[in-house]
Amino acid sequence: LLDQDSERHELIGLRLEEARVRLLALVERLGGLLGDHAMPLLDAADKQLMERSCRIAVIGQIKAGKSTFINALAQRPGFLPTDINPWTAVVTALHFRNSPTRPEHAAMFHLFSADEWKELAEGGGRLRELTERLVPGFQPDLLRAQVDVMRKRAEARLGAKFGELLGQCHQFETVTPELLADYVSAGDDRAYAANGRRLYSDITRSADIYINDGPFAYPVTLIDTPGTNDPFLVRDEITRRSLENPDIYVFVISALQPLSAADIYMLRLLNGLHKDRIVVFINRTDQLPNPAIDAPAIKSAVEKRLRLEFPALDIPVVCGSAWLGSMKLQPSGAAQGVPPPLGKAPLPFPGTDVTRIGPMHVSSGMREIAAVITKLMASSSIAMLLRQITVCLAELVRSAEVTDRAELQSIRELLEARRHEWATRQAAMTEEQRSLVAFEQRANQLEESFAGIKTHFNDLITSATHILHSRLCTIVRDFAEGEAVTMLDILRRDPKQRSWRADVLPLREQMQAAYLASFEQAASDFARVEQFLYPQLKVIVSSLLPDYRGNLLEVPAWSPGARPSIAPLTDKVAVDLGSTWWRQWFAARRDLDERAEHLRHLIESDFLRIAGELVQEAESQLKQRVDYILHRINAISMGLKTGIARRRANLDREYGLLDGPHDDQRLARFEHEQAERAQECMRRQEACSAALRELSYVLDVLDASPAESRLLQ
Amino acid sequence: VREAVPRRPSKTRIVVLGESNSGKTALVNAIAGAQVLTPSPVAHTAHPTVVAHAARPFLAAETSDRKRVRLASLDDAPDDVRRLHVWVREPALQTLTVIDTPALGVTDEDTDARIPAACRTADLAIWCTPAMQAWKASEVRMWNLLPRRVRARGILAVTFADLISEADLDRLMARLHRDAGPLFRQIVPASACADFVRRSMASL
Repeated sequence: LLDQDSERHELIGLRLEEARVRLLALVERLGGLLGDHAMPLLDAADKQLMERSCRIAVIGQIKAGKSTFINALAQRPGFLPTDINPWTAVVTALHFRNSPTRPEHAAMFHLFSADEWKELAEGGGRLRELTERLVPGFQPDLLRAQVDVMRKRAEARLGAKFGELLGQCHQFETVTPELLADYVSAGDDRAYAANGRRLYSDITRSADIYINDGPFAYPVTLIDTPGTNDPFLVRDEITRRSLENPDIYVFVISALQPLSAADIYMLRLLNGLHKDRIVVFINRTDQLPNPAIDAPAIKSAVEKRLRLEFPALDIPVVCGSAWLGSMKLQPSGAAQGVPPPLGKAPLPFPGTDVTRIGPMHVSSGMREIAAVITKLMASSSIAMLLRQITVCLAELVRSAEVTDRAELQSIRELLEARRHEWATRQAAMTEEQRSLVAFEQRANQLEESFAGIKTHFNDLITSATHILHSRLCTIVRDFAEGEAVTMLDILRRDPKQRSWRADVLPLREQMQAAYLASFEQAASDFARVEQFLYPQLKVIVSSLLPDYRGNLLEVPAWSPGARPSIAPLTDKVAVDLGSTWWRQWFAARRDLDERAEHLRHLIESDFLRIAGELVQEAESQLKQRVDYILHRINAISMGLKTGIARRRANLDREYGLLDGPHDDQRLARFEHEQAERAQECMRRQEACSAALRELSYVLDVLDASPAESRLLQ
Repeated sequence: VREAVPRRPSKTRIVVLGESNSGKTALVNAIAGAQVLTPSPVAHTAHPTVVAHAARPFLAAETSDRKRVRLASLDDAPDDVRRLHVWVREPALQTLTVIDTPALGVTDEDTDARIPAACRTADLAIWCTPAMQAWKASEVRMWNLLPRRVRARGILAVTFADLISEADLDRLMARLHRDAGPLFRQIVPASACADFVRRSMASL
């Protein structure tokens, strides 16, 4: 029954990790092979490969079982504290790295700074700001009461001088469930008073846990969130703000209340952000009265609802029980080794409590979810990044190979010419001299045009962001105007209306569409400039090596997934507040026109700010792209230039030999040196070929598209 | 139909409310003392359903123009239903009538107008909150949207309490008393709810 092997899934992201490890080794090797000019690009690639982990956020309503899910997925039963009451109070990031060296700290907790605490404790932070804007002067009693409770609790738990703790960062060498409970769980003062521990969760801003081994092959950061729909409004707010740019979302829902209105609302927000990056996990199937029949029924009902709400998406749905997954992982004999989660009844092991052993044949769903995550990772921005790095390296190596070939050819030709009479030799040298001059001219022209291109790119960015900004502002103003007019219209026709509510989802959708369209437009403008640059590079390459038949210097295609973040669009704004607030807002104004004017103002002020943030985001994304393009072209053209410089040196030596005294010893030494240079070229060429074979293998591992593979043929 | 079923407004009327799958139907059955309605883990109760006592079992649908049509099965209800009526012969129902309601909050915040209507004549309003995910922000919001006079007769019933341990239930009840206490007359586990209703009927 407690078959552990059935719960151990294959390491998650194995193929991606293989690609990453091979690329890292290649970057190291290529540093010596390609020369200094390639270093900025190689360093950037190295940094990305070392630091970019796959971020998996586990989200859902309170008490959906998110922490238990993470414990089961990470195969660490009882690690994150769980409880019957909303328990996770702090966004907790678990960093999994399979590195041979132990992480320096096992846990790091950042406490709120004095300013952050002041903002939160004296008014509920952003939530109050929103409320104030909607209904000036109206303070939601509930929020004030809760913030009061929080402040008093922090004082009671940490002493009157807890202010001195603010801004600190606490680090620990080892992590225990108790330590985690101290910093991330909401806490139960009765239990805590007894054991003399201190609870920091009220003033903890973020928790980072570093784990050296886990079920993930690829470096993964698992993010546990306190859960939405929390009646404790302050915590709800913290969760919403924490959802910055994960690569994958695991949306945990409870089988007992599958896909409620609150779930759908949250999925709608996410959907705009991250298509194809969501997997739904229906948790707690072990608690269904009849899991074998009910679980499939619930699964198909959830799938049906998702298809209805999001027809364009194919969101995978997995049924299971994280509780069961955790339990099956515990070796029955070693149960004492893992302390039971605080507050939760001990897990039922044979001989202790068998009341819930009944549904044990229910699948925990962990293997299935692991497989889905692996699959999502393979199409995530991580996989895209790895491909981009591979293709970019391939091009650098290709152009280095071509340069070496050309050098080898010229050395051979010059050595060959020496066996002939003086006139032939002279002619060969003049020919080499002539072609070198031509290359240098072209290379210099190219370099000159670089300066112009940089300015051109900057102009493009400026105009693109300008257009984007005015487009977004127009959309916001039109929408606000439209809403105000609609409200006026309806209120005039039906004076009995007691409240009003603006639905800004269409506005978010319009802004998103315009934003992405503008971004695509700017990106394709860039591509046109690149398309203009590449033929020039190609001319140089083809004159270096006229009989070269390989594929080289394709204009890199940007993957459609490489889009800028639209996180600002998910910001909660005043008009998102609940109907209680709306009724207050409505009641606060008697005059129809005053209401309409204020509604317009509310929508405009929030969404114009969001528009500004979106424009900033687009600008920084476009700048990154330009940097990348310039690095890349620079690396290639510098590679070609150093090749030419080497040939220039060869030729100069040849001329030197021609001018100097003619003794056989000197001639023999010269020929020996040239032969060594030729050897060196061949060695480099061999290394390049090996690197290309390796890169081609990496692309296979990453399931490359045909266009990407062609580069390596 | 009207003649066949005499109305007895003197009976205590209890309305059972809650989000989807919060165990409303099971609680209605518990109060009725028999499996009158079928709970389901997926499908929701689509219409307010009045369960009352009658000598002869009987099903009917009341349309929005207050006409009643006899039904062979609750699944055959016409589109335009104001509420459904289920008459059963159950001793427990001789002194009380229970009204099951569709889930609140299925659409974001627009409440089904039939629900406050069903509450209007109720003597007790029981809000069902499931033990495993009890008293969420959406429930607080939904409850506060109900008319004040309904809320003044509110009982918070913790359903599915058998799925958690006794110690957990104690701690959950402590939180609910702290957070929801001021909003309800009483907070009880659903298993104790039927008894509680009967006991408190005297005081109503």
